[in-house]
This record gives sequence, C-alpha cells and structure tokens, in this order.
Amino acid sequence: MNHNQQLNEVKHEDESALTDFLASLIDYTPTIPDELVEHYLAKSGFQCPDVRLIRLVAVATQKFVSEVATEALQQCKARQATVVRDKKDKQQRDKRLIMNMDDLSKALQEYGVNAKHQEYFADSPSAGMESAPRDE
Amino acid sequence: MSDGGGGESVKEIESCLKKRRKHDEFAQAIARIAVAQVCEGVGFQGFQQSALDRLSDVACKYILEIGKTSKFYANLAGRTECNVFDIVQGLEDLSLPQGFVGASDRDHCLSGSGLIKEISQYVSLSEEIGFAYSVPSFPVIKERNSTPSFLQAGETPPTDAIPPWLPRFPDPKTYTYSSMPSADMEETQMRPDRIEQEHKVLEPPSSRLEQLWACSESELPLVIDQGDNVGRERGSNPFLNTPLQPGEKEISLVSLPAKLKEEDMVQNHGLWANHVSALNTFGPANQAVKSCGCDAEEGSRKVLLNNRPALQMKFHIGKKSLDIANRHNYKGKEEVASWFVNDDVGDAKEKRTEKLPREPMDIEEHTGNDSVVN
Repeated sequence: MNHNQQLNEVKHEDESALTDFLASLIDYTPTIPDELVEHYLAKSGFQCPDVRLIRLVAVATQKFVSEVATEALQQCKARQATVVRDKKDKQQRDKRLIMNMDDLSKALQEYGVNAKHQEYFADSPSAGMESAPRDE
Repeated sequence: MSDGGGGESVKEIESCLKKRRKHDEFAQAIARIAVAQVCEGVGFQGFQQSALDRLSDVACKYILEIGKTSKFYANLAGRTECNVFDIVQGLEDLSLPQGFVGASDRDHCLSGSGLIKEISQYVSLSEEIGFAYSVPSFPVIKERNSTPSFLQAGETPPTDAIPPWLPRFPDPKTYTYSSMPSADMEETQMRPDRIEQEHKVLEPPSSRLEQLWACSESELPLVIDQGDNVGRERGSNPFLNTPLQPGEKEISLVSLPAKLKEEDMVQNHGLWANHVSALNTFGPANQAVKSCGCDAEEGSRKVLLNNRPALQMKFHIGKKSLDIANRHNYKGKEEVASWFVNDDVGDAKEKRTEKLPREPMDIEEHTGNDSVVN
C-alpha cells in the first residue's frame, strides 16, 4: 500500500510538473514563431487546437537547433584553436565566429543527419580509369 | 555526351527543386530568420548562406518529423487529435539516438519523462528571444463566393428531378442574348466565358437591339454588334472584343504593282514572315522593302480573303534571268523544304532577293547576284 501510495504521489508530481511546465509555456515565447510551427505540423497531419502543444513543439525544435549550433560552435572554436600561431595570436582570436558547412556537417553527423558535401566530383564515371593503361 | 545528358538531368532536377521550393518560400524564409536568431543566441556572429539554409531546412524537417510521429501515436490510440503524450512519445522516438534520462526504462510514465525535464530545464536556463518580426497567419485562405443553393436563394428548382439543396442555376441573362449593359455589368464581369458564348447565339431581339438596329447603318449580323457592346461593357478592352467579320470595316486596299501576280503574293506572304530578317545585308534597300513588305502582306491578306488563287506549280528549269515570275511558280511550296537542304542555300538567298518588289529592282538584282557569287 505504501509502495502504491508512493507511486501515486510520484505520478501526481510528474503530472503536476508537466502541467506546470505547459502552463509556463504560455508565458514563454519561443524564438520559432507559432505560425511557422503550425504550418509544418499541418503539413504532416498533426491536428491539435491547443496552443501549449504548439509551443511545446516549438521549444523542442529550438532546443534541437541550439544543440546543433552549440556543437558547430565548438567545432569552429576547435578549428580556430589549432590554426592559431604565436605571433598572430590576437588576430586569429578576433576573427568572427562564422558557421561553416564543414562545422555544421560534423555537428549534424552527431545527430544522425548526413549533410556532407562531396569531396570531389569526377568528370565522368570512367575518369581516372583510363590513365592506368595509358601509363603503360 | 554523358556530360550533356547528365547536365540536362541535373538541370531538370534543379528546376523541379526550384518549383518545389517556390511553394514554401515564405515558411522557409521565416525558418531561416528564426534559426539565425537561435544561433546568434548560442554565440555565432556570422553564417555561411548555405550553412544557414541547411540548418533551417533541417529544423523544418524536424518539425515535420515530430508531427508525423505524434500523429502516428495518436492514430495508434484510435484518435485523430494529438495530445501531449503523443508529442512526448514522438519526441522520445526522435531523441533516442541522442539519449535522454530514462530512455532505457521499459514502463516509465510519460508525464515523468526525462525529455520533459530536459526541455523545461532548457526553457528555464535559456534567454527568451522573441522572433524578430510579427508573422501573419499563413497560408492565407481565399474566400470563395460559392453560388447559393435553391433553398438559400429562395427559388424552386425548375424540375422535380433537381433537389433544392444543389446550387441554383446561373442567371438566364448571362447566357441568353439580351439585357442592358448597366444592369448586367457585374454579371458580365463575373462570367466572361458566358459572354463569349453569347456571340454565337442569335436570340430574338429585345428593345435594346431594336435601337441598335435603328442606329446602325450597315447590315451586320446581330452578334457582332452585341459583341462590341459587351466588349465595351467589359471596360473597353479591345483585345476581348469579337473579331471583325470580313467586309465589316472599310480598309483601304493597297494597289498592287501590275507586275506582281496574286499567286506570287500568296507565296510571298508566308515567306516574308520567316525571312525578312535575313535581308539585313541589303542596307537601305531593305527598309523600303520592309515597308513595301508590310503593305504587301496586308494586300496579300486582302487577296487571300477575297479570293484564294489556285497555286499553279509550273515545273520548268528557270535560269538566273529576268524571268522571275516563272521562277516563283517553279519553287512554290518546295522552297521551304529545299531551304533545309544545304545544296540550295545559295538559291535560297537568290530567291529571297528576287521576291522584292520590282521597283528598286536594279539594286536587288545586283546584290542578289553578289550573294550568289559569294
């Protein structure tokens, strides 16, 4: 009985936490606007009139984007750290932090999104294959 | 070869992608701004355009994925509307590769999910950055004015076979020939297609028509007059008027030179359109030619309208002589086909020069010969 009571209490706490969180979402304005989220959710077939759920999705997306961006920022800073030389120390550090495709693709790789660029493009499927007999 | 083929397919793919993007440009632009703001909050000071596009694209796809998975869980539970637990389950599915607290728990309660705690932590810790612009609700749905049903309009359907809840029939004024322009201004503007059908229908005349008949001097078909009036009703757009019937308007005829036969003009008419530009080498003579040519075209059109001369194909070998009229007869419609054969390129140029009116003939004759020599 105690165990059950404890479980019930825990459940109530969780539910209250959830409801409190949803209530707090009404005050919090996510950076991603509600209209945009509604548009894409409608595209995927998501039907819900509740604004709090829209905000929940918006916040979840914002969290995802910020995590990817943080990862990319770390990559950017790591690259700058390796490039820095002793004499040009200040010049390198003052450089602006710009999001590159390289950093972004590495960051997205962590999250399971393959966004790599091709390293090189061949002219034709047989490029480089003819050179072998020619060398002979 | 392979590059060309590959290039073309790439272009097709690009054009398809561009068409797809055009439908969603507004939403993608907003997503770009929002993502840029989030990244700025994280610490970035600048973006590569392609990197920003890529990240905003991924964010939009993430929203789509959440919607899809939530909808899936709602449908699984036999519902069409999603609730918070569907969203939590969807988010958990998407976050499994990353992991969250309690992901390995088999029977954890959704309301106590680690994901919710993480998100609430993020909300409490992060700065609240509002979106930079005020976004209108989109997509904007255009309101359609549907035709009211018989019941709504208070009418009874003409036959019993038609149920009254169906939309009512259109106003007979719109498809029968009649009516004052002021009264029917709105109707004619709303249904321009019907008006075009009016032209072809001869209805018993109304009072307005009788007035028109009294006014008009020429004996023209009713349809044409009404067409003109209707055209005027529609804001006097000359391009929407009915075409004039032959003989309706008096046009001054061009006096054709005596030497030119009607047959030649019939042949020339089609050829002028294609090869006027090719005569640029002939300089000042060309301008005279063009002006004559335009008149000649009109004259030929009049000739065509009045009577179509029979094309006479006289097959005999023509020399490069003044016997040009016979030359025209020889070539006839074979000219067009022959021009595509490389052998006759020189001959083609010669033919073009020879079709010029005879008045400045001396000049053309020489230049024609020059072109052939070259």
